Amino acid sequence: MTGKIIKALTIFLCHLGIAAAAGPDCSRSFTLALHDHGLLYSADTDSGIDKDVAEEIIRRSGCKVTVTLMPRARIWQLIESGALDFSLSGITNVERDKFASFAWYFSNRYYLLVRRDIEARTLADFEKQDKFQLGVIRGFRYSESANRLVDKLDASGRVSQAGGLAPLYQTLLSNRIQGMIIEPFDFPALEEKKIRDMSSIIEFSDPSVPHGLIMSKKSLTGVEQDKWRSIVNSMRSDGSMRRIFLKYFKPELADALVSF
Amino acid sequence: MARLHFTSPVLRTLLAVLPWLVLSMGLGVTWFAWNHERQITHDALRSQFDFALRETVNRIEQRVQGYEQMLRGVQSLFATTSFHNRAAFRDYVESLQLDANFSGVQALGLVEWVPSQQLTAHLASMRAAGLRNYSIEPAAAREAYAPIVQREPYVGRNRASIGGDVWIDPVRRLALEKARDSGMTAISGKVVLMVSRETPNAPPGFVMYLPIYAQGKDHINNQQRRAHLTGWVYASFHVNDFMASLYGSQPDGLQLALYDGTDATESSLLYRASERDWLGGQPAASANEYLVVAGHNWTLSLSTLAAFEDRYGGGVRRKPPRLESC
Repeated sequence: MTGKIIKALTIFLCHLGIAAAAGPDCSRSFTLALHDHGLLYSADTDSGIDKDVAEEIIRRSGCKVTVTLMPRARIWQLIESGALDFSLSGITNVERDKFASFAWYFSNRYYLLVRRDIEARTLADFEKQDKFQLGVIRGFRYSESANRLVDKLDASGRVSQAGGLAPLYQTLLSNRIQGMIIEPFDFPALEEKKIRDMSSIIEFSDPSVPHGLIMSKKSLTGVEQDKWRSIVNSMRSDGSMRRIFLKYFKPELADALVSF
Repeated sequence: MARLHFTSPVLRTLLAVLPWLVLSMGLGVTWFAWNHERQITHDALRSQFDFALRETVNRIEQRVQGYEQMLRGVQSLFATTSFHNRAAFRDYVESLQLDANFSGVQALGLVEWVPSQQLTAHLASMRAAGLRNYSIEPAAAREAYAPIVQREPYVGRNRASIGGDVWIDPVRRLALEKARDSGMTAISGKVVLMVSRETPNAPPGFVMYLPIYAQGKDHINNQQRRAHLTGWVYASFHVNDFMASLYGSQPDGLQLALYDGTDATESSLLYRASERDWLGGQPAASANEYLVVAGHNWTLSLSTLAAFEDRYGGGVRRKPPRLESC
């Protein structure tokens, strides 16, 4: 009899263990940082795709997560040091792979937005004119050929850094920079007449680049990263990620972003 | 075996050209080596310059974040006590020990949100608190008011009269609205601080605001934030003092200027380091970086001076000055 009770208890405790293992370990509180970037997040309205994604991830995890706003460059520094657990809409490269892990949830291409009056129709047109300045957000990396362009122009002092998108649009309008790299999240700004009238878009030929939940390898074990990744994957598979994107984009673009 | 005939015209030409050929090759190799060396020193200078720029941006951003945290502390205070608890705010600021570490702050204060229908009650409440001569300036009737109701620490020029309505100033109002709608800190554009209004040639300043919402009321969305706004806590700064309070030190030989917004003009100038460049001419490296600090744009302009170029660039010389038409 006693043996049966012990066996039943053991099975019960095992099930408890499995249940606990299914979700992330919430024995401590976590930190997540957003950055102000077009439709991803707007501090002015305290809304955006990343905020919605963060809220859903937090809800599903059951953990306490403190959400803050900070510049992208600072986010990467803190993710590397382990002082910050998560951020959103990150892309990887060899350097970042050393200290961050990702859970992909959308993929997009990059575009070069240029002033129409400079008459640049190709990337080469923009590159060969020494007087053209490119505006980029500090801490941002892009697709392969976009990165190549940024690095090449930076070496010759032709890159102006900014802490966010808003000053880049303003400096493009005032002709202090002649081009900037944008993503689909920045398209609403292009609907503003003054920007639409004076700019044109050049596409980078690179394939779409996956973006995802950024997890600090220093603060989260591989097992815990997998648990958070499975939350993101569940949001993709049950359609809730698509529903978030549909709030901000037309169905064709939303589908193109989340289907990869 | 063929013999060399020094009288051959081909050989004579070759002998005549040979010294020039050797000279040209020598000059070519020298130029190549010089150019290579110049590129290396230029890259070294550029790398040091980029590092200095990045560090300066970090120092400014982190200092702003430090002051944001200070305001968050006050916001937390009003989560536990009434916005009208003047003694609690005074004691809180006193306990902050705003010593040299916070020398960049001119004042911490409170701005109350007063819709016109609450004006009478507001004036009565302020007078009941012992401020018998309190009034809102300017006095003309408006839909809403946002007067400064308390300023701490109550020393020196912070004793300037309270009651000034900051809502009527479009520069301050923009930041107040931004803070109210986002629930986050917002920095104003370039202003003359209220405490320096009477000072001739008052130094440029800015104000950082953080909203305070009614206790126990939700402020999750924009609508709720507007409906439940009680007021703002603010920190005001003279830009010179703010820049002097940055952690770390600026590398020698760099000219630094800070502008309000994205246009680097004299009218938007907030701060300029006093170093002067006696050599004149164009700097070997210069850059503008567009900062976003607490929702506001600043332009940081950095350029090398001779001291920096000599230290990190060795052979890199200044570009000659641009010839201006007379």
